[in-house]
Amino acid sequence: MIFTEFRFLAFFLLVFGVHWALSSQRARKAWLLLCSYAFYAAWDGRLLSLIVASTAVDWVAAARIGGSGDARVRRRWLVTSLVVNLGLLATFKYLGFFTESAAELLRWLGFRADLPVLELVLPVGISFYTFQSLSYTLDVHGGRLERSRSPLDFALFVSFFPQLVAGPIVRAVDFLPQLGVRRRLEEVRFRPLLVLFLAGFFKKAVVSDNVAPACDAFFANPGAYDLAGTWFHMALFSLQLYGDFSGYSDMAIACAGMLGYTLRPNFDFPYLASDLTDFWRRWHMSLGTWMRDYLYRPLRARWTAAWGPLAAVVTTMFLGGLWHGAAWHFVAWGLLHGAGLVVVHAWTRGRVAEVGVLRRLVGTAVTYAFVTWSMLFFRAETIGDAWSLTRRAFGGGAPGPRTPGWPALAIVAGLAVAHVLASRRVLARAVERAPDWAFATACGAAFPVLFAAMNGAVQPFIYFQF
Amino acid sequence: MRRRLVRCLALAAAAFAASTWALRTALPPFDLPGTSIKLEALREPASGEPFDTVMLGTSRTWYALDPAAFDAAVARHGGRSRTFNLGVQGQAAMGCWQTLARLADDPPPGLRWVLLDPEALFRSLRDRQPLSRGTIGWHFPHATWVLLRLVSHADATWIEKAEAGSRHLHSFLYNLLNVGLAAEPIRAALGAAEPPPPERRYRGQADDGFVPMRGRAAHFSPGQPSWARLQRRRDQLREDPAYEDTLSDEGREYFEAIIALVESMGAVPVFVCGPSINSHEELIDAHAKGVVPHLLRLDRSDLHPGLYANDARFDHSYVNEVGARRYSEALGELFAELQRELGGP
Repeated sequence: MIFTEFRFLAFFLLVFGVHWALSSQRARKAWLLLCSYAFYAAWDGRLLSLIVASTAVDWVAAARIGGSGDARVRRRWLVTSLVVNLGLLATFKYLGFFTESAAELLRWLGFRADLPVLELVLPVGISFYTFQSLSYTLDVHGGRLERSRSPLDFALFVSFFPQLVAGPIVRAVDFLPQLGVRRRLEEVRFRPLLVLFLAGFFKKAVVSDNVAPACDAFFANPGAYDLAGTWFHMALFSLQLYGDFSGYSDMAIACAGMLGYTLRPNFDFPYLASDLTDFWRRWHMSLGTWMRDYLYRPLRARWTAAWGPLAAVVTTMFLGGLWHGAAWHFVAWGLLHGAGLVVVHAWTRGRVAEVGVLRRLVGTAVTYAFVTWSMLFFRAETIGDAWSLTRRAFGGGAPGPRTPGWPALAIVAGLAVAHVLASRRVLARAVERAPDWAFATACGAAFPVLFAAMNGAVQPFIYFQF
Repeated sequence: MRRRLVRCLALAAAAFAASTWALRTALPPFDLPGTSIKLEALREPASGEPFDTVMLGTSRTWYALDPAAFDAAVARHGGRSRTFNLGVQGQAAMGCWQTLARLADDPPPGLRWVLLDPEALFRSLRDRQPLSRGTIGWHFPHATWVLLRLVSHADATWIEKAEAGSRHLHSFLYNLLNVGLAAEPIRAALGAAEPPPPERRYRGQADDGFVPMRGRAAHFSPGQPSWARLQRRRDQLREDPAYEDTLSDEGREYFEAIIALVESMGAVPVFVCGPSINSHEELIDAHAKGVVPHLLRLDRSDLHPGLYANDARFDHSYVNEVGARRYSEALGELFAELQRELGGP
């Protein structure tokens, strides 16, 4: 069930209506848990058992960790949680990749290697809910969080449907306390939430899905494009990816908000970042902070030598790349960003200084160009493909005849202007000031326009595969 | 507070309806690829007299009915026709209904005969193409209502019925709310849309809507039953008593609606069973019960072996150029007979 499908809208209206009609907080939570499981089962009911297993193991592990003063017992249960969660992730997401890579390595070394490859279904959103559930046991073990006394609360935290399959990755420390408070419908500020939902719908269904065929055509036959066409389509892919993921996040945050729960923002206009460090503070923020807190900081604390911080950055980004997909081109993408962060760190010497407008503009342009180029490694099927596209992007290979037309450039320029205006909260301020009747009329009129402009063939979210 | 909320909701609903309606009038209608081009070619012939006969159906009709061969055969057997092939890819029973409705909005002058091969009326509950433009295209209220009732009477579990029903309702909403109608120009501006296929592909070389499947005869692998054997098996099934009384209330409603539309244009409806492996049992039963007055049958391999010979087939679905000529001549002969029965061309 995709957020831009009518059946999701119908599903959400039902969830919303019953949720607010129930008076007891416990009943509301039970209802949301039931709906969350139904939402996930709409993809594949069999895979629901993985979420339930992950939830049960982490619930028991955290209870044992929280209930024991013995460091060895606490450690043993933490290891159990890590092994089960990462084991599920490794089995379903990485087993085939590691087996194939090992077979290739053996063949390269001259051995005969026909290793059996298991064709397992990749459970939707497994990387998201595994990290989310894992952060709970890590926080309880680290003393940053009290263990939850309610299995219902914990199960809902792991499976809360708005962010279950593609994030944002929610922290227990942010979400569990909210479950203890009974909200009133009057407390929900619907106006910004509706605008956020509409904005997310626009980004995903109108921008990303309509840009997707042009990107597919380019990546299927890059030789048909000249240099301008190559960079234009690289920029289009950056639009597609951003629209897809940030659109999903916006809709997830809006849906959760309408049910009375606050999720942290996941994107903050990342293409306006002034350098790569700034980019990672704005792009997929919930993953960035997760990796910072549970990978980078522990590694940095352990590696105290001069090279420690840089090695920690590269290792974190290597694992970040692998988190996105079980393929070497994702690893290469992560390592490129790791290397980029090292360069930025060396350039700025780790200082955050105020910079002038011109330097900021140049920084933004260079960062965007780097991010857009690195996305070739994200999108290409293999590192070889990405490298050959890179050569084309820098003038290698015979240029093809196709060049971007003025209408295409005008559309992209319009979107860029809208992006800058949105970052300055121009629309948000107008929405806040508008009288009720004007807001209701504008919202009512906007939906059909979005429906007409959306790609009629619903495209799955790119981040579902992660 | 509550009154303010109700007022806002009412305003939003009114704006939603007005915006939807405005977009509906401003945007082009849903179109199975080629339908608009073919309708225009039918209404305004490139040369010669206006068309007085039109045949609707799927791509099996598009690639099979050669109007020149058909008209010549009609003339040889004492009849008269000038025919246009309005076969369109994916235009099965419900698609024909929608195209007929569009035709009836502005009927071509002089139209006298409407031939129609609807193939299977209702294919399968498991037909999982709810979002294809073809499926969305024919979802208008009457067709959706008929289909939902057909689904509810299908021999299936309630889960299968619920799935199929919700797919049709979903597609109906897509159509009602103009989903995706403005997206094509955006994708075209971005350079993503496929270049539009040449008009000639739909109008045909002779501007009569016919495009032959050229080139090759069917090839059946040793383990695969030949076309003629498949056809014989279907003929045997037809003799099964279970195949009698197959016309449902919804099927009756469908045929009556089609006939009323054709008659509203002052034309005579003529149904056709083409030489395909798709079953036509509801149509045959509708004819037996007098719902469908005129039915031309070419679906018996024992009566029309030439249409089922391997040299006439492109594959299991389509006839090749040889098959198209044989089909058009055989149909022309039956049509001329019908014209005579009805008192001349």
